[in-house]
Amino acid sequence: MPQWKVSATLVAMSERAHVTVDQARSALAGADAARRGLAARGRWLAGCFGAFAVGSAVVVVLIGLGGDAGTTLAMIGWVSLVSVGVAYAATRPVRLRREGWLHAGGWVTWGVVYGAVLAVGHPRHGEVAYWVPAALVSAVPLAVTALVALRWSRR
Amino acid sequence: MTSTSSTSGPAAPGSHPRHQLDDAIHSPVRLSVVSALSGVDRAEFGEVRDAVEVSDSVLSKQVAALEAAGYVEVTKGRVGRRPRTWLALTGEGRAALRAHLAALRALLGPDLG
Repeated sequence: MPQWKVSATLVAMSERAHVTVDQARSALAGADAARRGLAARGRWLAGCFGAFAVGSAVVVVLIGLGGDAGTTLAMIGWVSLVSVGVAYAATRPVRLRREGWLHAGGWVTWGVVYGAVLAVGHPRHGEVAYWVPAALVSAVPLAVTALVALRWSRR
Repeated sequence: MTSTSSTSGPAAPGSHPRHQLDDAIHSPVRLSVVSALSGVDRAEFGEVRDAVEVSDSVLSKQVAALEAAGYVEVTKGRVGRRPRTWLALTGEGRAALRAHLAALRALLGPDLG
């Protein structure tokens, strides 16, 4: 039997009567272990945002350096990636605490950065020196969101 | 919602922290369930069962008690063709857990908690 179960049982036995320091400490440890155990199952979100970050960088490179064909390919790829991501997220069994805020913050920030990168780069199509760093910059908001999700799944 | 205090009446100021322990989440499985749910927005029944390491029937009983206490919200739905049961901690449950954990920490004393 896991330690937290044993300790939690001891705490229950002392209901109303006598809770020792050791029992209280064990109950706290058990509660913490249970919380961490379930939250860890929400780490899929970090992988999802990581994939979106890579996708964003590829999309920006294709748009900036691939011409019309690259832009078309980028749009098809991005819509496909987002569709797969949404479908995958819908089937996940655990949602991290405040996950909605994480989505909102990540996507809004990404939208602003992505829009700025494309707007600034519009007259520079084909310039590798601009589009490669720009692609990496566009991926930062989603990469940071992935790291936050990973951190939240471990707290 | 059910009574949330292990005392028969309001605890007097300065009373022992054990009087602040919450009956509804004092049992081992319920404390584990509520604690587990505190780290997520919601989770499927099966995930909670695996995290807490109990059987379906045990978890069902404990969740029913927690739902009756107003601490856990149960939502049933489907993902594709699969039926799913989601569990989520209510605001009341979150507050009760905080108070319960605070009481447990108080039992450890200022140096240990």
